[in-house]
Amino acid sequence: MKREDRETIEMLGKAAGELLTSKAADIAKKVNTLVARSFSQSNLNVAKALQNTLASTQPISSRRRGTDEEIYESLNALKHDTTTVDQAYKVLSQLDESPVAASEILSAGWLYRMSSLEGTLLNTFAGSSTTSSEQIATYCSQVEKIDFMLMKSLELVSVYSEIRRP
Amino acid sequence: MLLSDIDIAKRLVHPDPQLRLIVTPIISAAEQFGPSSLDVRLSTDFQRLENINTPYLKIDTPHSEEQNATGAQKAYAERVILSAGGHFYLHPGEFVLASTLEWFRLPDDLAGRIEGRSSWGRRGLLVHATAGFVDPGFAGVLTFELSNAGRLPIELRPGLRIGQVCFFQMLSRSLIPYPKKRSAKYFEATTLEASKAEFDPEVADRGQSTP
Repeated sequence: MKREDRETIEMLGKAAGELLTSKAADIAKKVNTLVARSFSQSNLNVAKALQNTLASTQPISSRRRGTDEEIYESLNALKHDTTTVDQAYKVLSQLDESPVAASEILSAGWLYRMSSLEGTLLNTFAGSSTTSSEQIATYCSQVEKIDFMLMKSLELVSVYSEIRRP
Repeated sequence: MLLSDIDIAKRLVHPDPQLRLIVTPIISAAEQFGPSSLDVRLSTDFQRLENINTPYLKIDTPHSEEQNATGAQKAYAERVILSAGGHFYLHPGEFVLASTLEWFRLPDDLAGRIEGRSSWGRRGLLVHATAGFVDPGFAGVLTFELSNAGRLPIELRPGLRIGQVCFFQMLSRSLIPYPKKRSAKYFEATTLEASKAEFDPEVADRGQSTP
């Protein structure tokens, strides 16, 4: 490298350093105002519940507040001749799903993977009459299926937050 | 028998898993429920058929980018994946594949049909070309065959309610629902899937078409 080029780089580096140093206090102040999201026990509980849904091979982007039994009961209580439109909408809104956190989706994926790994391996590779390449293909497709469900779930959450953004 | 709003709602939380309909996520039931249908939203991925380097669609050539297609084969399809806040402009006469944001699982006694919504139809948006039927037992996202019948480009973005699905209860459960069908090609798709017509026996068994 030529001497003049090196000097130019040093000069630019020094200028950039001075600029950042002057802004450091402002940046730190802003960072300190951000609320860091910790992964709590309640997040873990959600992830554990989602793990069961994932096991039935469906996306895990969201959950309903009430139980299915409660909602089914509320729907059965609606009568065509006495239920008002407002009442009907209120009951239907129980079907709304709230998005879960991305960290809960990923945790559910890992929990499911860890809890199902042994069974999946045994089912795929032990005592099977198929060839090893067929077994590996079967195993890969099972892993992929869950990965795709997790990716779909993350996509749903991102679109969800975009729709609900004020 | 066409299901009403209350019938659809009950199926979504039905205590019998064999009769339960899964549609997830329901972001807003108040917005999505029609008298006999459920509105569905647009997802983030699109696929359009490339027409610059493609003389015609060969009958036995994969259209999907995921099937190890190379060269001219790959040129058939162009995948566009938007960010959640992204936009897609559908030009007049253009045909693209897209998919529903919602993921479905139909019980063996329900069939479905995807249709457009009047508000978008009035803008010239068609949501399926010909294949709007959803088989009993089907699971996965539904594919939109989008085209613009108008004379101005249509701006689309993920999350828009561009379609609706209605459900029909059949007189009896299907004997061979979609997952058990020998030639089922699109089961449990989590994203749009291009045509797999090359796997149809009448295509696959005939070998290569003429160049």
